Amino acid sequence: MPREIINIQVGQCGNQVGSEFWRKLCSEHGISKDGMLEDFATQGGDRKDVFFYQADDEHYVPRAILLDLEPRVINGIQTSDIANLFNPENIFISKEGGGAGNNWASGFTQGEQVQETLLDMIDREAEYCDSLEGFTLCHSIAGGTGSGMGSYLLELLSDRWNKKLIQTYSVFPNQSESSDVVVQPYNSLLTLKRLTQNADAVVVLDNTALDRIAVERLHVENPTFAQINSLVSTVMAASTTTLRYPGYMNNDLVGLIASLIPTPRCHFLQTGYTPLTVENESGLVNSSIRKTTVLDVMRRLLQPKNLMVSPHARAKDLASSRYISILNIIQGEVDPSQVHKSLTRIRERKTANFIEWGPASIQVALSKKSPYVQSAHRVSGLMLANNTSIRHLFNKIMRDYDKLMGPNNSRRAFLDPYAQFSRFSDGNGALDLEEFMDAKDVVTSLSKEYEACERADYIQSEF
Amino acid sequence: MPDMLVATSYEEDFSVECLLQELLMALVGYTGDVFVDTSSGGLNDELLEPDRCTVQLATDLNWVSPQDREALDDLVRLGFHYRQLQRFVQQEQQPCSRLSRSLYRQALCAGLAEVLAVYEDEVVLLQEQLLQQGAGRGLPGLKYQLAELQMLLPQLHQLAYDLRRRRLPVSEGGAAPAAAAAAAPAEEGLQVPREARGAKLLCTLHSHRLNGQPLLQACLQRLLWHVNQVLFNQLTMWMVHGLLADEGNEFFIRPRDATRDSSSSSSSSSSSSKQEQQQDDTRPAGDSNSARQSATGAASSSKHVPNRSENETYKDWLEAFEVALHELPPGVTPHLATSVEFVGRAVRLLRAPPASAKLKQLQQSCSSFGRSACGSSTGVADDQQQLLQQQWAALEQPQQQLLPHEDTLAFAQALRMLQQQPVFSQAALERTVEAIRADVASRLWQLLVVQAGLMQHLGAVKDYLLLARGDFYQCFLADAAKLLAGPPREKTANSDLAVPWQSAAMKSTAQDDPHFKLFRLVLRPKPADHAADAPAAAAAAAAPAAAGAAAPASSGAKPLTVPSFDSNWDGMALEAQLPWPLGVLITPSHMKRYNALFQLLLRLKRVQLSLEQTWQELGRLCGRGGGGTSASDITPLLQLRQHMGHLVGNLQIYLQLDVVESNYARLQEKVAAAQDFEEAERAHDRFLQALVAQSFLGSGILGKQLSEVFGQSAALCRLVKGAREDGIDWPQVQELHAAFNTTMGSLYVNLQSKTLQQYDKAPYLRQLHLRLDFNGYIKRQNKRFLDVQRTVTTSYRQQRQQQEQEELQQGRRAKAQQGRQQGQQAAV
Repeated sequence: MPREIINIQVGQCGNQVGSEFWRKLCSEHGISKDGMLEDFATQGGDRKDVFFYQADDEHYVPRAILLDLEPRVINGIQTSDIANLFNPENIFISKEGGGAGNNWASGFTQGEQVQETLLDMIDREAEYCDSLEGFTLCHSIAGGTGSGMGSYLLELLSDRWNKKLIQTYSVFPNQSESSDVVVQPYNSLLTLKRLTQNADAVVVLDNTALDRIAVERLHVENPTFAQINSLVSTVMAASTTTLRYPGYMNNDLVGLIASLIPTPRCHFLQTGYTPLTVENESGLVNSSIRKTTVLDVMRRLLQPKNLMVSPHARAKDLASSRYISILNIIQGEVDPSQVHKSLTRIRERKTANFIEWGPASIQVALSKKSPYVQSAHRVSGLMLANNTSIRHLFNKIMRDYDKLMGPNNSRRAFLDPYAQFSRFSDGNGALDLEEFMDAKDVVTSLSKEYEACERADYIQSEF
Repeated sequence: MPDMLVATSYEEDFSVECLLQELLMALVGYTGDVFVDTSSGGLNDELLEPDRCTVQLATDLNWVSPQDREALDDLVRLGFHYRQLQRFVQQEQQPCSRLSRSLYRQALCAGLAEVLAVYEDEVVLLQEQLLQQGAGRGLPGLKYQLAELQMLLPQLHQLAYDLRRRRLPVSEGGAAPAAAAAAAPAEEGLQVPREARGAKLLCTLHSHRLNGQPLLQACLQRLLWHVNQVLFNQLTMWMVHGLLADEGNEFFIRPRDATRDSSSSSSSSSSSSKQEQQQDDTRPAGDSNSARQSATGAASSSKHVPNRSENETYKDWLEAFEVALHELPPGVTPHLATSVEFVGRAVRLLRAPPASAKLKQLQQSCSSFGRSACGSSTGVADDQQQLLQQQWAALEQPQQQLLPHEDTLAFAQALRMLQQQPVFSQAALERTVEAIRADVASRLWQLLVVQAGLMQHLGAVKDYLLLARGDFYQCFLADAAKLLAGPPREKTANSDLAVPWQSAAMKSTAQDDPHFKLFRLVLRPKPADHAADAPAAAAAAAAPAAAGAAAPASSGAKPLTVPSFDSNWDGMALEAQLPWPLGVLITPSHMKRYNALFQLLLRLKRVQLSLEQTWQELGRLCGRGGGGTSASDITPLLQLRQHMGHLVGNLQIYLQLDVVESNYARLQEKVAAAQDFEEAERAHDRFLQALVAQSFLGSGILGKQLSEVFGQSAALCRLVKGAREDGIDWPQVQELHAAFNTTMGSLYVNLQSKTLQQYDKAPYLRQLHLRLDFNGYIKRQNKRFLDVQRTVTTSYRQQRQQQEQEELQQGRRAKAQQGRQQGQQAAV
């Protein structure tokens, strides 16, 4: 029962981040670029079969499905050094090849149109699994394909595999500066609805924060896509270490997220990672962090500046935010007795505000480090946290959406492309805002739910 | 008599000098008519009391002046003492003596014989002088020359007498000797075992040595030396060869099974040779040696030596020998005795590994082994040597020499050096024993840690018994879910369990683990007494690893309480087949405790997994991601699950991280640095002790509350499972919620209670508490809970008071009515 996980990557961002993620997994498990086990990787003790299966010829094949509506990124992967890694049957590029044009509606509709093909691919992949535990979806919520087709996939998966878990790694757009995609608030909002209703857990990766981290923490002046993607893939890989290098607990996806998500609706997780490294032309750029004890790592993980979600709110509002749950995955040479000391220290200093309506604590999972990857740091840590402050990100998206839509939906900027699709038209070519209104309701109530979680009387357990 | 009468008439011709020849004869025990022995003769085996000399000058020699008579009687007393001592020695050496056989006493006799020989020589010398010089210096001269012996012999006689009667001068004081002597024949049967032997004999010698006469001291020193030879021989046999050369059962190390000891003496005493008393070295003769070996009874390996099974070596190691603490000779502290005992056991283990143990071959056995081993006993006849050699060759498996020959030689030499010292030195013995112990302990450490891979196996123990291989257990529990849902089938339960056990191994990291096959999951039968859970744990974990025998009672740990979860399958326990020498460190009693921990951790894991499943089911119940409208409806269920999951999860993290991993890191460090078996053993003991203490298995209250939590979690899971078809049974949810709150409340109180805090557990309780209540929720909740309880109890009290008052009033009314009725009746 390896509890396999199938990773589906959609759209430009999804595929870029996804292929980085696979690259990382390969190097951690000692699998070569074409899927063969390296001679040195004989140590065992890891579980490759969660994310890979072995073909008849001993090749390790990622349980990955690559989807895109335009050929550029996937072609890039197919001509890169990891071209032979993926099963070519699992790669789908739309025949039109025109992409979704940053239009959620286009992506969603195109997804609908190729439903059979998608189901065939996923079904076939699922058959390779002994006991499929669930899916991870890797996408961005701003563009057209990742958001639109991704949303469609979420609905599809959640409907067809209602007993399997669905976790997403969702890249939220950079909202601090003007984007080339003006309609991204529309796309984001529409996708958020699916993320709320059709996913079990969403790992939020905020481009705004990632950029900030690259600039401030890693001192990269103009972070490239590759550098940001490397950050994302680091987080993705780290969040799956307890599945791949099993320890006492958190050895499957449900074990990982069940304790993080006490109420099913509040399932948006923030991440933090330390110490970060990023690659540039001149080689490896480390963050300036030199000291990595358990306490240091755990303390840094709680610092907002290391959080991969930007606050989008005033300090006053942030002060009331609460942690619903925290899971720290610590990798490397750790003296286990230090964990307790660190916890004591953190509690003494009250570095983390927790909810008051239920029990909550910092759970710590110690995990092995890959023996095949050299690292300058003895200890590294990933935090997965469920924090109510995420609502400010939703609110920011809704504010941006409102700006485009105008008061009482009067402005309706840039909506023409959406009206071309049946979902957004009333049949007479006129715009139907039903979908938007619904999405906004869902996100609003989600934000409200998180807000309610900050209050001590969120749940009154008295009977 | 007539001669005597004649003699009297020639009074003038007789002088004391004429009696000197007679005196000399009497001095070596030949009494006659001149010096008369008034004792009943040699028939009685009893030694006569030294104070009551029975030999004296015949009273009818009336021509002897009183002064001379006194002097003669005084001198002839030596003869009496000599005779008695000789009898003592001879009785010891009689083949069919009714005395129990004692090597120590035999050695003492050899020493005594030495003194007696000196005495005899002296008497012969005197006779020569007498013959050559005539009367010469006469009585005073004799007196002068025998003065030294006159100091010695009475004391030695006293010693022999004390030993035979085993009556130390202090202990029995002046008990009427005549009466004792008269009653002696009647007491005979009783007296046999009362003879001083072994350590008691050494003690008596020691106490006699403490006197102010240098001559006597030297003499006793010499006697002590003789006896110590036996002790050293025994030490050598034990510490160098791992054999008990102790036919008289006098050594301070005994086979634990003492029931067969007596069988040996009859067979062995038949051919006891006399030669050994003549030698300085009282080394046991060869033929009796074999008997001595069998004297170790069941524990002896001599019969099984050629291929001892692993279980036999474990049995040998764990429970075959013990230190007889009340039999420690002077100069041997309990600590020293334990060290000696350890060395012997270790040597037995190292020199006779079981045939099945496939260890690296170190070097070929040295052919000259036999000779070197008994090289110390130069006087031993060749045939004896051969015999020994055969025995050793049998004990020694030539291809597996774990204890190098050089070491054995060095041990023997070191002990030999000590043995030859005229004066016993406690400090020197301690130094030597410690040196040997250190060497043997490091060899054993080498064997365990380097050759047998102790650390890897401890890692495997952590992986399987302490559930560190989480993914394997996850697979196992998932695969076994169906099986575990129902009751076990009595006859096939174990093989039923083996199916998911094996299949899980195929699917998890246990696949590549060579140690996996060492472990086997079994279902131990339920204890008869269902109510008491404590014996359940004890019975469930009975002696799995080795020997199959119950662990020594000395482990004496109180039964561990494992909170119960599933009465059908709670008996699941792990059996480990660790490769050969590891069982000496991880003993059955250790396995028992490991299994208690295993059961706790496995139950926690089962609860945790079922709660995670419930999480998924609840998610489905309210639509994925809680998007459905019914999300808020099941909030109480969600919260209840979350709280249970929190408790179970954090308890697990506490156990695995704070307890197991922290202590294991320390253990690893200690064992690696030890270089000494005993240190490693201690480190492992401490490790397990810490684990048991820090997981609060000894605490009945916490165990009971955890059982409750387990039960409530199971109830919740059932409830949620049923909810999909029948809807949620709200009254039951409510009930469950209330029950869980109550349990949590009292659990929380207990975590901080003074009674538990008093123990050394306080810091660990705090650690657990920190994890469980990191955000202070339980504290707040509990305060509220207590408040509610208080109001409930007060309102209850008020109600009761009201009721009572009402009842009182009713009663009064009834009485009044009765009174009225009676009044009416009376009126009528």
